[in-house]
Amino acid sequence: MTLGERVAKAGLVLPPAFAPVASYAGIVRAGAQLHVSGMGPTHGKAIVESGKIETAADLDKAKRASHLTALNLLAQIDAGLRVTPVKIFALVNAGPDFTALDDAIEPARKVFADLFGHPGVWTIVGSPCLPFAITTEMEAIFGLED
Amino acid sequence: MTGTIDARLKQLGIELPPGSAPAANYVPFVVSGKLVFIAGQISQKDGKPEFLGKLGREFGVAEGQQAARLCALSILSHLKTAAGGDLDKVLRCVRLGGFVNATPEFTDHPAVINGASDMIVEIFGDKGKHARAAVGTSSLPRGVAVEIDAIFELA
Repeated sequence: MTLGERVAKAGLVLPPAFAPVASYAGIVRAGAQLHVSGMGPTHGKAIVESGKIETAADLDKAKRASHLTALNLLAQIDAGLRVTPVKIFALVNAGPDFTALDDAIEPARKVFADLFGHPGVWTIVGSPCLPFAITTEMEAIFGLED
Repeated sequence: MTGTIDARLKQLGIELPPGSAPAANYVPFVVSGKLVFIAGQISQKDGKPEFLGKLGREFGVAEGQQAARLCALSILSHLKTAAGGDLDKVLRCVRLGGFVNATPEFTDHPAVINGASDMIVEIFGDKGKHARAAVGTSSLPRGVAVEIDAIFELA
């Protein structure tokens, strides 16, 4: 199934692809892999979720941010390609004592697991600051399938 | 028959933990082409997070290195599963990504991640020499001190 078919089947609507703000590409193909640049919780040029996650009270915001960030990774990929998630590096703009990072990222993992049957491998870390104060950032490697 | 790497593990007195089973939204590794991508492994023992706290606050470098070794053990356990149970099928360690839960002032991140890098090289020799990043983070899942992910190449 193509990415576009998977997204349509899941009833998801992807945000407009974020255009890189400097001299880098949003996505690069190398052999049988696609490398997607760090994306955030954006809708086109607009930042939807910004600010730091300090306590459990901020968890809903982190979940909204991670879900939208996952969709933005997918928005970089040609919908006609057949892909599978390989590796996702997720950063949460988090205070030094916020440790529920798995919970914060869960909606993003679920998007991938639901679409592809598995979420790929994840590395999740807290970051003291992120570009434009976005709440989450994720970069990813996808595999191209025949 | 015991493989070369298994014999080396025995010689070093290293026992790999059982690999955790994939859960609904979690897989420990993905094989893409000849590369094995291993998910970020937090410092844990017997399924429970170990070394809860930060470098530069609760822990010093020596404890951080022990935490990094725990991460490496989990990585190797998953690698063995990915290699069909035979670590001799591993061509090389390509890359480790090391994340240290640290105070803003802490600067010995490389020394901490050496706990994992040294172990991989002890086991695999030249095949174990890898590219690496070692960075500080403001927090890590469940509050552990160290998280490490990895890429290996299979023969």
